[in-house]
Amino acid sequence: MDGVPVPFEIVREGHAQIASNGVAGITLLDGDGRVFRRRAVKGVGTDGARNVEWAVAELGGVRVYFDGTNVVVTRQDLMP
Amino acid sequence: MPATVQILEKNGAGGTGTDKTSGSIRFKNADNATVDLVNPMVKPGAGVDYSFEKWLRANVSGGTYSQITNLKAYMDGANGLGTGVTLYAKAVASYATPAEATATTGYVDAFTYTSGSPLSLGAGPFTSTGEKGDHLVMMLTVGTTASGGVTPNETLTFAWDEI
Repeated sequence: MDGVPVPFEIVREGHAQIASNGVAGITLLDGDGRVFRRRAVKGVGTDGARNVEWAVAELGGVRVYFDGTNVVVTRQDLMP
Repeated sequence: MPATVQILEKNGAGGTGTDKTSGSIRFKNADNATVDLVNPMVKPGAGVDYSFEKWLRANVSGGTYSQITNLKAYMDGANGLGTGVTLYAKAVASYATPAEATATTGYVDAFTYTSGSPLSLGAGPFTSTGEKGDHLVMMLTVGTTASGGVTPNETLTFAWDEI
């Protein structure tokens, strides 16, 4: 499979939720939000299939999408 | 370590699974996962040639995770398979032996399922290992206006949320 990004690990430290891929991370400080992985396999059924690994922090209806390099802040439900 | 997720193609009465996460899925006039030129789709003189159904399902083969939710499937929104070739999709909970489709009833043009409007394969939550969510059942039709030869690949995406 082409390009295998490192999945994010999610840990809690007190109220904070931290998603990290070992190189970059995103931290949600407020306990009423959530952090989750949004993962995908694109190109299923082809030789060019590739994984997509996002960390998503959601707080008050606003989401921060992070792929390890780029950050998108939106209320939209984005899919890879 | 997050879940290790494969996409299986299931065939036969027993639903034998073949990992097709990064292997070709060949639509044909037979129920098997083999990528060959046997039992090819045929450009008809009239009407359309229906393929056998392809039954695909997400399978967690390992890893450590709490739960998977929001399982989706979608295409890129643009049919690149060529004139006269149409790909259809639907979600089905229970497996049935793949059969040759005879109509498009119950199906939707697969390319209408996009990242902005994906097909839900189950909200979950799903836990542990094994097959998860609904099956993605796909079939392909070839019409009289199609060209010969193997079509270009298309981009099918399986996506999910995981903690």
